[in-house]
Amino acid sequence: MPEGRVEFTVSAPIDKNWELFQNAETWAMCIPGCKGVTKVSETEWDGLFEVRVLHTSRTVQGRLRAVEIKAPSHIRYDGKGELREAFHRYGLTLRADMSLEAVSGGETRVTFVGDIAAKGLGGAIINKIVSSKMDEMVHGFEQNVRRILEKEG
Amino acid sequence: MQYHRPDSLGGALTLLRDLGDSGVAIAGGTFFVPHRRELFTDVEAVVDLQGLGLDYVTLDGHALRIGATTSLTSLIESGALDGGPFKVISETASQITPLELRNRATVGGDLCMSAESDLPTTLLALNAELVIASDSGSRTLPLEQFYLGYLHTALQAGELVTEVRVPLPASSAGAAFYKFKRRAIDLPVLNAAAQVVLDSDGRCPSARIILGCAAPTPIRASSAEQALTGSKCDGEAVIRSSEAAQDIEYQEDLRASSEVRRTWGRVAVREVLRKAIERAKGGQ
Amino acid sequence: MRQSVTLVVNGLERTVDVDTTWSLAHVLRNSLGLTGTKIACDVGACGSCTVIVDGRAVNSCLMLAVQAEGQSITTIEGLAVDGRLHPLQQAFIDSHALQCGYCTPGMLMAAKAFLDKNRHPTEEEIKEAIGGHICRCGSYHNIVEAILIAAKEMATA
Repeated sequence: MPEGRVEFTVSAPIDKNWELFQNAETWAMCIPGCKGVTKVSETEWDGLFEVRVLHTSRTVQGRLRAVEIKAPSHIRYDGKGELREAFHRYGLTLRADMSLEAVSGGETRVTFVGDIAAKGLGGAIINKIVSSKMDEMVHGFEQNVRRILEKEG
Repeated sequence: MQYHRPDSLGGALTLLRDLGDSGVAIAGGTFFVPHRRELFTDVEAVVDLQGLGLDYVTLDGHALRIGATTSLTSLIESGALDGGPFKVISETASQITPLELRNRATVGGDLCMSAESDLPTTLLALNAELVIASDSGSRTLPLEQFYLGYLHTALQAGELVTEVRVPLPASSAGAAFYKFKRRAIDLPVLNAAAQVVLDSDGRCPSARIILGCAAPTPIRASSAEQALTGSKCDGEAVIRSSEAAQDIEYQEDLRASSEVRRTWGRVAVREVLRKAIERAKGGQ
Repeated sequence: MRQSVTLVVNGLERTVDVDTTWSLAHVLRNSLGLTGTKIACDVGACGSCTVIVDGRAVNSCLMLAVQAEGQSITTIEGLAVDGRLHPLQQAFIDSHALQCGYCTPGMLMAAKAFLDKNRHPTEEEIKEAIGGHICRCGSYHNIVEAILIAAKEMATA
């Protein structure tokens, strides 16, 4: 899947944003379909997601790793995951760069740049489906993040 | 799984409204049935549309109107498309194989349920629109606005496509369809359709060139269109236009590499333009 | 969900209790004992399950049995009449158009539906009509020949 960019502004100061985003246990739960995140170490998390496609759903299991951390504004992630079908497993790889930028008025701009890709030729169909669900998932993610940060703010 | 076969459109729409996401409408069922245990596991009820009388092909002075549950064979055999400006629709449907599939698959199903198909490409070239009904009324939507992503249409839960309307093209217009696929039972690797309008000087003031299966949804080959409009529509213009279609990012999947699709993209655009221009010149 | 369905098969009305998710192919074979119709791919790609519904050849694995209520179904068992083989069946035998026989019922039903509407087919038209049928034994050449012979037979009958 081609590289994607998610950008939105939250009405909460940067340190409050950092509190949420430096721990995947909290921010990954904001992803629509996330069923649970477990901390494995200071820089690794396991996540379980349920994705709805057409009239069915599929489970994705993944491990996320923070490979570079620059408090309070930047984390680089990579990750591996698996989507299981009845007779097939699709391997997924993830790359994401998260940045926080304080903007005027006590607000913070949150940016994610990266991609999720299913490996191999068979993965092309997964990529197309992920692509078609992106807008909906990003919108849901943004809403969940705001719900947490802006209410407390 | 419940099975319903309502005998009125109103009844079907009420059912679909009540079922929401847990219901699915089927006509031929050629996509639903083979995938019912894989992609439709959350479906609690199926609403069979065969009893609603949405099986018709009529031609009036302004438009061709095709009922959503018209099978591809019925479409071809209707006679309404022979030899006229809508012949390209019949030609497209005839290339959907095998015969057993055409006997069951419907126009509505091909537009709504299928991700790699042929009718959308041709109907987009002809600028078709859809009539979409729901329990609270009906709306029309240009087919151009229907495909939002791979397997993702603008249909909301409870909505049903009931009719496809194709405006009568200008008498100086010509349209054609071309596709590449491997065997009788394969989905298309790439297809293209074009509608070209010619003016009295033999120049082309407007063209619609659609590429299907090149991207997750059918797309307009805008660069190819721009290369053609205003030109004399001769052999050189056609080649230029087909070369311009190379700027698209062709998708790669199990069926073909992006290089194979890129090659067929050039061929398909060339072929549909040649035929469409010939038809436009011949006054169809 | 279980439901009672009445199917008209080979001219006879049969009422059976089915699961709504069962395909017509499955019900023909398992509920009605008409095992002439074969299931190989079960996804409409091989043609072995072909039957005739309201005059048209269809893949019975692509239809739910409940969808077929109210329609007239002909299976391979309905091809011979009063013990007399249909010209297509005789032609298949005479032309050695089958080896293992697995694709044969599907081929015959597709051919019958085709010839009923097209009395003077060309070889190309026949190949197009059976394009959705796989013959693993490779008897295609003889199958096409048999259909051509049967067409002539049916045209003069």
